[in-house]
Amino acid sequence: MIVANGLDVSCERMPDFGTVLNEATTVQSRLLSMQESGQVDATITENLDRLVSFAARKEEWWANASPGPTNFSIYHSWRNLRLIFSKMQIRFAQAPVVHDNPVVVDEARDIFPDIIITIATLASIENDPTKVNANRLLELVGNLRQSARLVKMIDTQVELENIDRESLTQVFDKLAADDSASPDEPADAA
Amino acid sequence: MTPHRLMSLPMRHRAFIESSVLMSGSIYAAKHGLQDTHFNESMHLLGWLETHIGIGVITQTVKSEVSKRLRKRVLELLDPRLAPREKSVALTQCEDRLHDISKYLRLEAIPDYNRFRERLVDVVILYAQLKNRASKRGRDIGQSVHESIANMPHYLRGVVSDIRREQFWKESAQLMRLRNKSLSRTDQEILAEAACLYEAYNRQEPTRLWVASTDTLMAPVLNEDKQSVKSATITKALNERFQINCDWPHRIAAELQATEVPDP
Repeated sequence: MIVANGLDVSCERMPDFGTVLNEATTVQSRLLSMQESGQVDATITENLDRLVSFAARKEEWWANASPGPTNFSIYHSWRNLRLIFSKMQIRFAQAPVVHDNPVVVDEARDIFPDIIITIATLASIENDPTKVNANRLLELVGNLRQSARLVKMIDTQVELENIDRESLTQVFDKLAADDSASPDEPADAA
Repeated sequence: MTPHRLMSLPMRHRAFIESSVLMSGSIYAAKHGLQDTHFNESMHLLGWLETHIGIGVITQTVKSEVSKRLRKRVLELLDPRLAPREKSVALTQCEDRLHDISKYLRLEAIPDYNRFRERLVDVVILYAQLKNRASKRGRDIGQSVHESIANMPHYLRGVVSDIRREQFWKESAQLMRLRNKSLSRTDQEILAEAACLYEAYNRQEPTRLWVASTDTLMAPVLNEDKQSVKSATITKALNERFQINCDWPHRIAAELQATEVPDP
């Protein structure tokens, strides 16, 4: 069960992609207005709250979806988007107290175009789930995550909370084991 | 710069980090963040390079290849017992560490694309020749053993033949790996890039270029002690052709630590 803002969001009706893209573009234009005016409008946290909820529901839906070649990439993308929206929301909420204005606006603006591109790609991939798109999506999200880390718009420690460390260690071991086997793969097989 | 001037300069060192080392280092560093595991062979070198900024180098080809391999590996983990959340966290942690490690490695551009293509052709030809040698070597070993025991008393031939055969196989262990395996095209490109960088560095000042790899189609096959070399036919051929020193990261780290490496 995914809980966003204290509510079990899985039972709420899922908005469509059009609504979510509108929400994201609204945030983008509000960020631009704030940058121009030099004033931070704290009500932007309401828009971010809706984005967190949507990403959380998508994340849970894809975690439980019947197995498919693109499921993991889509799940992974929504998970990272949720982490980014959550951190952004926290930073806007705390900005007046911790004197994060106007840096928080500039830094949110830095990554928001990539966020919109990722949501648009997710919309397209959920309609046409081919493996090539799934790989491309992982690359896109990987780049978005690194940009978010650079401007502190993702909390990398939060994602380690409540994780099953034994399973995670198992995944690392499998990756490392595969790694040592990999260089011997014939080039023709690639 | 004149040859005389080149000779008078101290030797500069550069360690080109090949994708197998960066991949292994990223995975181990990610795991290290979770629990107190020992650094593996790759981390030994990467840890040293973190405190000697400018000596470790990579190219965009290496960086992209590692990201691609990480994503591919995670997608291939089909074990249903592994929850998507753990897989997702593993991928992000490895990618984060890859990014962190890359920060203290200098990202080098390949200066001359035409030269890179020429060197790539050289690498492809070299490996084709070595593969050809490997396929013949099996037969040659039988012949060599036969010749080496021809003049011996009959009662010794059986024992000596076994010893010689084992010795020949041991010496050829690296080459023989090419009988069933090939170096991937991306790894061939990475070697060509290393060869180009060696030339570019040495146009500026005398430079020893190490290529850190855990792939025994480049780095030598080691004995069980993981220190001494068992077989290095391919490694020697690469050194003769391109003057690059392919080796295991922990052995390079030991060499660099033993050498007084001037600041870059």
